[in-house]
Amino acid sequence: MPTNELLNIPAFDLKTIDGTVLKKDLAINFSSEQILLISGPNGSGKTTLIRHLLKELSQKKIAVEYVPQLANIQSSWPITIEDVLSLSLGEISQSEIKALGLIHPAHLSLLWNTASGGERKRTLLTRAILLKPKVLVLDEPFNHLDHESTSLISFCLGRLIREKVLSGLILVSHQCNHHAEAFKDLSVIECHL
Amino acid sequence: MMELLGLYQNLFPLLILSSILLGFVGFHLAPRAQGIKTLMLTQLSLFGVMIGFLIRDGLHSIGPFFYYLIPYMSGVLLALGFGQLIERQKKTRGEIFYLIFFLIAQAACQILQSLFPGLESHYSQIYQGDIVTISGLELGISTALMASAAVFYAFFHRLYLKRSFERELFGSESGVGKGHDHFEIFSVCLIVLSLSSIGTLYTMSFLLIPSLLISLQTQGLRQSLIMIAICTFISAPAGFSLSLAFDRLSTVPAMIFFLVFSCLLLPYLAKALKK
Repeated sequence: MPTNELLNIPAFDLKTIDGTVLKKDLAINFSSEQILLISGPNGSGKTTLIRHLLKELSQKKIAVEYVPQLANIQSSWPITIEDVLSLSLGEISQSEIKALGLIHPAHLSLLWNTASGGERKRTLLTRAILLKPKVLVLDEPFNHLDHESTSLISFCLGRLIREKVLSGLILVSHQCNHHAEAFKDLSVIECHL
Repeated sequence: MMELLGLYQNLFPLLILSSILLGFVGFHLAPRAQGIKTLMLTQLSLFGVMIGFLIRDGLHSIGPFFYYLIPYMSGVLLALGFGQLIERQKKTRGEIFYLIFFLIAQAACQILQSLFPGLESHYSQIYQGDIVTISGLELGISTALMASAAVFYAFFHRLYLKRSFERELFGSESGVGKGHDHFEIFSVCLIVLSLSSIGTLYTMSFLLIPSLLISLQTQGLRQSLIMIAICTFISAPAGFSLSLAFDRLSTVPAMIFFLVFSCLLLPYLAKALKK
């Protein structure tokens, strides 16, 4: 059962920067050990809602890590997976990476530009989790991933909530069926825009 | 040759510090998509430095310290002020607008020269560079400022790397890696300092060439940065020494050719030795 309240936003109109109303009377009540699943068609305001939630969470001084969609797949630097992690984490612990199970320590020397889409997403997720946030916010983490990667990521996220490594998870996803199994015993709040 | 080297030995700290710093700052331009913007800011700085010369020439009885600082300050203020003005107008952001402003600034420099013919020699000196004619006081001020810039960069190096990578991957609109980042202010100060003491051609070359050529041949962030440091460290003094040895060889082009040569050869040699 949910214990601590993370977000309690009374009914509000979700608007774009230019004032266009995307959704009327939207209320969000989100507590720890819960997953907030945001879905909706393209242009329905999922990313706008995420920005709104990030603002609310930062006002409440809750440690958040946000993994947005990639704007560029390639980097102009010859950067490795290990570099990506160490840029944010400083010294990286191989045992922590191994325990998380999203990337294999042997893949750390892989170049970012030659890594697969799944390896890149798992790297960014590993980076965000090892920064030890209270709430993790993921924008379309399963896009363009095969079933194996989707399943690996969703089971890992489910485990982190169960083990209380993460207090809450906010997820934008179209593929609800893919993670239904991984989140089946968890409290999932659906927010369809 | 040794006599000449002895005569110009005081130039080496400035050359080494500026070349390494420009190489490192240039490494951030591609991920931050600031290549064209930097070109525009450089031209705006050049225009600002020229205005500074005009102001300086119009002023009487100023101390020698301010005498050298006026063009520098004018270049920094004009580039940063105008750069910020463009950045705030969402409609005029983007590479094509930066190119337009670059051309306008270039035209403005030429108009200034035709209105004030005395500026022509300053312009060609700043554009092509003529480090051997730098005065002792100007060299002292420039070296002290460059050393301060090196300390500042060393302090924020990691933060700049992190932000550059995040901006490239997630885009500047995502909010990730946005935070407070004074990289652009720092890079403009460095560019103006370098172009007003060593020249525009030198500044742009050491800013753009090392990161581009080395990134193509290295694997990993650490390796790239070490290679940039080595190539820039040797190229400016080596090119300068070459130009002293062969008196028909221009100083800045010799440094640029040495830079291209070392950026192509050294990573290749390092790779071959590793095998």
